[in-house]
Amino acid sequence: MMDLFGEISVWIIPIILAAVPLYAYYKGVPIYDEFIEGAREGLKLTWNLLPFLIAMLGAIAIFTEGGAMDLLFRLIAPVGEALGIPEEVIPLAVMRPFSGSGSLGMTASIIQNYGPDSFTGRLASIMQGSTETTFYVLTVYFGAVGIRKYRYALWVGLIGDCVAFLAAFYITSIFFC
Amino acid sequence: MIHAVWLLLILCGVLAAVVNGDGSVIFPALVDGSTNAIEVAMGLAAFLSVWCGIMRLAEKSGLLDAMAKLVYPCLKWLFPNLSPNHKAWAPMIMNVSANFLGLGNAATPFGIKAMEELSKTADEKGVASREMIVFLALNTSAVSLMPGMIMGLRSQAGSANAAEIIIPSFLASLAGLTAALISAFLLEKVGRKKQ
Repeated sequence: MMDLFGEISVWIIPIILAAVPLYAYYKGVPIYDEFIEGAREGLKLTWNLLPFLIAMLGAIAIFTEGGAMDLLFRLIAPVGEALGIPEEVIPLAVMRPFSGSGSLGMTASIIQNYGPDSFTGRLASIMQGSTETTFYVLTVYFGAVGIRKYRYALWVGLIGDCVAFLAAFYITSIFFC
Repeated sequence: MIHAVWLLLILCGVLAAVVNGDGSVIFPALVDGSTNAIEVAMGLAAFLSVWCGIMRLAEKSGLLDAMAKLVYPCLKWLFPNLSPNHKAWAPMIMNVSANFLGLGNAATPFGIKAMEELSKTADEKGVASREMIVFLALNTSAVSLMPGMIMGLRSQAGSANAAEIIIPSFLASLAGLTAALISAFLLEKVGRKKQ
């Protein structure tokens, strides 16, 4: 099963890269000119979202490096303890919505230290795999098109993250016992 | 609200530094963070340009419309106010499919394109519409059948079965997505009433 998915995900991009221009050429699209136009759009979008990304990643770095992230860990740790969640994964849960590379590093170190097939290792893998870097997704997607009023979007993302974390814990308990 | 969140992130960081008695970390943190942003954007610029180029070929040749028609029935119940021939459908569907296959990087350009199309027909400029937030919920919940990065980490660490987490993590992300969609639905109602 995994091999099949692995093969699919390796080949899907090369196949798209070959098939789309071929089909467009066959349909009589001036493919080179249109590709250039598309690439120009892509650059414009990146240019638009860059200041948003600087503002958000900068603020998150201050939050983390200043020590607020550690305080947040300590604040949430008792809640996790009450639910029986291993305390090692609490920092991961707190970091996950803010930083993709940060939480991936945490997952990697949990997997290394506790073993990939331990309860904690499995739980960390599943938590990392079942959630996204909400702040980053929000900043990139809304930043690119100049959305300034997020309304309730952040809450929706964070509620999704919280529920996914709790679900990850219960599902891990049920699956691997 | 984003103003308050941004301010809170900075204030909490500075306040924690005051509590810890070490103010020297703040400015380097800001520089590091923004350097990181530029690096991320550089990587994204290359990726986004190439994919937008390819996508334009798919669009001009009619391929995107054909795909959108195929998957449209699965997604239409989430976006009841979006007309069937809205230009956001095709990139939205490509985004969801790419995420599903674990191609996160490939999904981002489609997602941004979809947001752009959604914002063109939104009632107010610069304000997140219901459709945009629902679409965002689809993206922040990471529903994927192929969490490749984590399986890589696990097999590197000598796991007996690196792929055993696929189904559990798929189920957990579905739970997250369900909660996100329900809360979006409820918050939209509350927001409407306030106005």
